[in-house]
Amino acid sequence: MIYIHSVGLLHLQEGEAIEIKPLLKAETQKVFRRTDRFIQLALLGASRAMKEQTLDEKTGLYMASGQGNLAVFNRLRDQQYIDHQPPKPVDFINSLSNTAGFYVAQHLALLGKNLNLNQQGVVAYMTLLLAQNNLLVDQEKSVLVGGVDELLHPLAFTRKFLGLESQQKMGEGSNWLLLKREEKGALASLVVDAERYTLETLQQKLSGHNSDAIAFSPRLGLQEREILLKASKASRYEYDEAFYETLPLYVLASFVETQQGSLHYVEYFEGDYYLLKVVCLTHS
Amino acid sequence: MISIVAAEVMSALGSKEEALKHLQEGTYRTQSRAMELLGERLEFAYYGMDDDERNKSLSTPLSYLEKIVTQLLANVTLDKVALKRCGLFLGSSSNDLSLALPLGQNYDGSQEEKMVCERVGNGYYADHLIKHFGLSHISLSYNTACTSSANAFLDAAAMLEGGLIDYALVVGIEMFAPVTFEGFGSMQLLSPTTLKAFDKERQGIVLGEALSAVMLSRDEVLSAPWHFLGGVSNCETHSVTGANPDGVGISKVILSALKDAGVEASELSVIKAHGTASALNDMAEINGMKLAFEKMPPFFSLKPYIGHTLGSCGSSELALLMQSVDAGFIPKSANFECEDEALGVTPLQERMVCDSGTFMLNYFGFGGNNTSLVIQKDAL
Repeated sequence: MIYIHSVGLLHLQEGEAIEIKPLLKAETQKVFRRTDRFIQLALLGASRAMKEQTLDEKTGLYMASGQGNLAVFNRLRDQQYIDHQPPKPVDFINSLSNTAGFYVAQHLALLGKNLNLNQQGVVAYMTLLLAQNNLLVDQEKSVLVGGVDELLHPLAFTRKFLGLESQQKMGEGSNWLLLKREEKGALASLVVDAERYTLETLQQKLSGHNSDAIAFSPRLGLQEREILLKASKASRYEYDEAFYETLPLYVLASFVETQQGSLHYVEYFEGDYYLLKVVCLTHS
Repeated sequence: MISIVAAEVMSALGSKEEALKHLQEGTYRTQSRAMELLGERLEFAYYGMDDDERNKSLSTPLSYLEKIVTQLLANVTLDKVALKRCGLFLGSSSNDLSLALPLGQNYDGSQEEKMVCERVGNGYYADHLIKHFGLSHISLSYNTACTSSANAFLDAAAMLEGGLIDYALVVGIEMFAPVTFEGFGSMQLLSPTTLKAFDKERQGIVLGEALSAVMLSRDEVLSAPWHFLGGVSNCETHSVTGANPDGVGISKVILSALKDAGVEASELSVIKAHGTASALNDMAEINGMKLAFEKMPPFFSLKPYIGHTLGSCGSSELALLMQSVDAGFIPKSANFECEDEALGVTPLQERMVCDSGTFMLNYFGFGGNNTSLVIQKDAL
């Protein structure tokens, strides 16, 4: 079992006109030079997770992203194909996706393992599975897991390469969880189920393992949701389903921050189901 | 204990036989590639895998990936059930290439319709390999610049230790990417001719492309003469472009890796240095080793043979080291001619006889990422 000790949320819907740079400066009292919006998103979410925490400098930093810093790729593309210029050094450096992790580590004074992770379809789930494993085999004492995705325009194009329906509401976010093996002082427990399920096997699993609430990936169809809701006997946890690939971290973090009891989150991609469970802890 | 069951690499050195011949003789082959920089056409050396003109389509990296994994699986017989217990950990500094290419091709918006049914992005290569070879659903792709596949290797070992998988396939891939080539050019880090690691006359980095595949397991599942003893990955925040030249960050990761592996410095047979031939990296690496070791173990760089293969160098250089030792030697540090008094130490200048021992492999990259691995081959 591993435990969530702190959460940081930043979740924005398409059309929400929020300037990240001034918000970051206001919340951290720092100016981060040579950073772009993707890096600033990472910094803002991570800072929010660390407000009341003192971190061991060896804390691992595992940052997940569906597509990484795509805006910088667009800039590089324009420099290459339209301006016929080599990449500007700052853009080239920021195009290396672990640059965001570097700035987060510098801001939080972290010197441990610093990973930038991707996966096709369930990157947040797989990053949490890695963090759980590395905590349980004692390779890490604490891990700060973050998911950062920036909205890429035009949205129709983004929906297409993500394989989403044309009416899917889109979003962006930077959501972070501080994980430890230690229970003392924790907000919630977390279990990342390593199994991959079909609809039928997940039905069986949920019918034998109760939770107070259940939430579903925006990718999951209405019919499948109804089947799983019925099997679990839990109430549905409603959240803003503006899509980005690391959205599960927002769901877990927002539940821990605002709710009580337990939550199953069903992640879904291309016919496969994955299960996450948090149980909020009550401290006297 | 984690066993390293097999390792394969495709690089500018050619076939396995050709590669061993080059490594034994201290030779290599480069090409020349040009770029326009500030209105000037400049030529730089490059370690390309072959001389064929390859189109920049999505299918090109995929066919190379299939080939390297097929090559590896020819040496490790895993049935379908075993493959389902094999996780995939892929490292590349240009994972984003799979999405960068269509974005690039689509700069005028003309190709949007072609993308309707093709989901691409980070994780695309791993996803393709999982489906093609019937691997476990457990997979992650790492983009931590020059430490990508070394970090993938570390987590593959941790996942094996945790029992989530019984086998782990570590893949490193770095193929020619114009943005990367020109990015290094614009930072004035490239050498026009040769890669002379730790040499006073160094002129900079020469980039290269390589693919590699390494199969890991646990001894009780599949034993092998090669073992992973331990390793550590750290971040230092001195500069986004690399390690602090004072070497403190590098010495920390070296000492932590030795501790994790339960190995004394005196037990190291040789160190595969990162050895990029950039002035700051050479300085940082030597200072780090000086701080970590009372007596400097022999060290060498493989980059003069295959170039700096960035995210692939973790697994590619590991595979080349294993193949060399299996053939009974450690290659000399090719191109080294002139001692740099500022460094005060020199890399291996002659091929070293070696068919077993304990080896450290060091990797340092952009983003302050430092990774050190310790592996061992049992004496015959």
